[in-house]
Amino acid sequence: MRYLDQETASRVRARALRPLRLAGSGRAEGFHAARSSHGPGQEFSEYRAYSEGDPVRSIDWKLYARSDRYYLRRFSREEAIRFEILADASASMSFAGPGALFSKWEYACRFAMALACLCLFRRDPCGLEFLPSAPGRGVPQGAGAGHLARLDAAFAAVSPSGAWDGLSGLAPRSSGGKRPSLFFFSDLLCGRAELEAAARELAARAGRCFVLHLQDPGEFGFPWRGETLFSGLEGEGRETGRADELEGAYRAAAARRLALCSRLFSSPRLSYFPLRTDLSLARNLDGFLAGWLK
Amino acid sequence: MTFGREWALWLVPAAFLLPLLPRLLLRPPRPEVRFGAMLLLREALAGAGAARRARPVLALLLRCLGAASAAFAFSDPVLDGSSLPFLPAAGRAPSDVVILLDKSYSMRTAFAGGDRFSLAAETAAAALRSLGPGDRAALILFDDEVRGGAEWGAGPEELARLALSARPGWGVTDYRPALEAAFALLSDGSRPEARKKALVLGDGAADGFARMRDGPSALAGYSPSFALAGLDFPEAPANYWAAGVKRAGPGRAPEATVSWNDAARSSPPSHVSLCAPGGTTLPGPRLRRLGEASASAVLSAEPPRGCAAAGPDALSADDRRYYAFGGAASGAGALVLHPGPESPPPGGAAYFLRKYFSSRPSSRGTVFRDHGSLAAAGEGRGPLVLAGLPPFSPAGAAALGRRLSEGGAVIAFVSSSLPQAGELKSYFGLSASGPERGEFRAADWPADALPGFLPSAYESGRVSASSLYRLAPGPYETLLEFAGPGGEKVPALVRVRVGAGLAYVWTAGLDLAWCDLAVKPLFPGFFSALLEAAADDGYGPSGAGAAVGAAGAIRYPRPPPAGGAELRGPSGAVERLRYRAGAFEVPPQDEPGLYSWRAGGESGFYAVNLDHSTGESRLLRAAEAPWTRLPAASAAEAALLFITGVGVRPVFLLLAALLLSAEVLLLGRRP
Repeated sequence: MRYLDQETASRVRARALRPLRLAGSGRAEGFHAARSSHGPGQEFSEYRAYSEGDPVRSIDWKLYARSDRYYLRRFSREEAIRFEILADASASMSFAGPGALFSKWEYACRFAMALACLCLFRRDPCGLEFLPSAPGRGVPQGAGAGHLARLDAAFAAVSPSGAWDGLSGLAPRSSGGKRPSLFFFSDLLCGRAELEAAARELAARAGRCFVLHLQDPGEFGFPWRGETLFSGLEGEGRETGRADELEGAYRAAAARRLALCSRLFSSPRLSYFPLRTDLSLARNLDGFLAGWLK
Repeated sequence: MTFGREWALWLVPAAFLLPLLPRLLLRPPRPEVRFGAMLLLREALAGAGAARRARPVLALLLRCLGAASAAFAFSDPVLDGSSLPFLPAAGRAPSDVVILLDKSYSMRTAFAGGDRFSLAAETAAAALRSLGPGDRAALILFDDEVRGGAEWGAGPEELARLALSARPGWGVTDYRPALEAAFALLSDGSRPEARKKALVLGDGAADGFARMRDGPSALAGYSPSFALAGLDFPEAPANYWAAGVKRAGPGRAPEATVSWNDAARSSPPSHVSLCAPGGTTLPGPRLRRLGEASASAVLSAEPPRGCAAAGPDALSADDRRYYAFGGAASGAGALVLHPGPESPPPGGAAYFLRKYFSSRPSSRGTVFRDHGSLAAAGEGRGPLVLAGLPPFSPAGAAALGRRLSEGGAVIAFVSSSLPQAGELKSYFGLSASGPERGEFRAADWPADALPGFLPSAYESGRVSASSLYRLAPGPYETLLEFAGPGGEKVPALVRVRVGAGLAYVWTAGLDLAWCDLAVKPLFPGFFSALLEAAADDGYGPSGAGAAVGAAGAIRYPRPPPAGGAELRGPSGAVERLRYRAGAFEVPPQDEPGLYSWRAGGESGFYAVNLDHSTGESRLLRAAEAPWTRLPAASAAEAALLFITGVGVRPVFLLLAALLLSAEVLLLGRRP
């Protein structure tokens, strides 16, 4: 697969073998942590002494015959969690500055494929959507064999283009049922109002949303020198200036932007995680999994 | 405002534009970055603010202004002190002003309808009359030495009148003695509070700095507090002068050498003329180019003295070259003595000599039949020519001996009709045998035997003799030789010194019976050269002249006449000459021209010329004068500014430093 190598797959599968819980969540949710949901399930879970009011149908009569006591048989129900990957495919994601390992887009693809691998290994269904959205570009929820390959092919079929237009183009939210958990990959380079709207939309759309902010070292370190012509990848026009003289002001603006993003996308439903594209994928992956998935 | 280096004002716009050129011409390639975070970039640009964005432009403007200010300071601006409201004339510090007025002959160069000296004198007068009651002034007239002034005391008005009444002389420029005198005045210490200024009103001739290579600061008395300024004339137009006149050869026309000052811009002079003492101007001849800035012209044959002139040009005073060829004094013609008869028969020596002089009026010669007594010896001034050596009477022999011992010259042709061996011995100390008969032919006669005589121009080898006196080796100099029958070399013409005089002896005589020299085409040239050589070497006054300001002498190798000698200058002034050691001493003369002298019944000419080797006639302007240059076109205004003005160069230098420092600070650089 183009965006998932064997080493990364092995790394996430080793992590998936351990019990994982979503961090910061009051109740069990995700990654097969919902096994406390007892009821008419398929797998035996435990015995419990009968107490008044318990359904008689649940009494294990065979055990009563051997022990002359009433016990209830309890069964657990596997509760699969749906995951959705939402990738920002605007043109700015194709940028790769000095020091970056990959462009933001390629880094996001690789990181998303690693997470998808983790989910599918845990048999949690996973879907894929792109922003700006377009019919036929996404991959519906699925967990079966070959789904990972479909996800990879979908990533490979998309090249970043166009400008950020928010989340308005996504499919309407389902009114009932459990809302999926969302991995949102974006460089978040849009106006403040759009960012706030996106934060609200993500919080409403997802049961839980992980906002993975792609950060290129060039865009945040501004390493250029001398008179430089900057032309926008999303058709924002051109700007000329002495890069070394702008560096200070630019870095301040970048720091403000990071603080804003961190604040907007940190809430009970939203979790913010910066992805620096000059760091190795394994390091970011370990950091993400260690910090947000316990 | 005036400027010491007005030309440097052109540097101001150039200096202003200079920092722009690298940005315009050497603009570094501007890389283009396809950038994702234009949002942040625009936020940074907005945050940088207009002032920050304008900083490079502002820094560039400061750099341009700084460079322009430095260039402006280099032009040495002087602000009129009288126009400064905060510096009223009465409140100015008193000044000690020394004005140096150059009266060298290059100041005679025409300029603005007058000449340079007039302009300088008027400038001096204007400057002097601008002085206030607290100021002090001195006027120094100078060329290559101080000619007047050099002391405080006279009032400005008196000095102004003195400047206006002065006229340029004929000296050359040397700033050194004048500046030393000026510095001595300025550094007298009596008025330490006064501003010290020296104004050099000369033409800045380059030759004036020949003895001042290290500049005024190396001169005695100099102080850095002295303000120096000098006139600055534009480059002079072409100047021509006759650099020399020489004889092209005996009996031939004089040849003048003409030079000019600027080979690159000037063509040879339009005419070279010849002027006689009476003022007659003869037509100019054709020029033959000698070098880049010199040419020669063969002048008309007459007169043997006068002047050659080249022109026209801006400095006509140095055009002329006066000349008076040596030995050309009146009455100094050759004296030919022969034994007779009165009308010499054809074929004899006297016949040929008479024929020679009668056919050449310019060659003065008198033929006398006075061979025996030598009575006419005292009358002749030039060479004595003896057509045969007779047995002189004791008085005649004594007269001949005296003539030779006093430095006279004798040309002797042996006689074919008289025994000569004894006379050769007794008169000239030559031991001879003969006459010897045989077939003698001219050997290879050298070109330098007699000045002006070129044997190679003739068929000299066809000269032959059938008889001659063979001279034994002795203290003589062989000039020409015959080849004897056996090929041996036999002296034909010898020169022997007798006392102070010289004798030229032709051993084969001039009679056709012995030698055919007199009928050969080369004889006139040969005899003319022989006469010239004898005239130059020996008897008669000589000494063609001297340079202006240099002493000379008129050689007079015999007792002076009782009345002595006097020299009359071109202006008519007469000066008595002192006689010493065989010559009349001529003191230095200040004016070029053809002077005439008279001693007893004799007279002659004495040429006094400018010394063009000093470079004064080249009118070269010093490339870098060690003082503030005041443009001659506005000399009076500039001089007034210098006297009363305030130099503001330091102000602009400081401004330039401030502007450049501001630029460095603006860009955040460390100097």
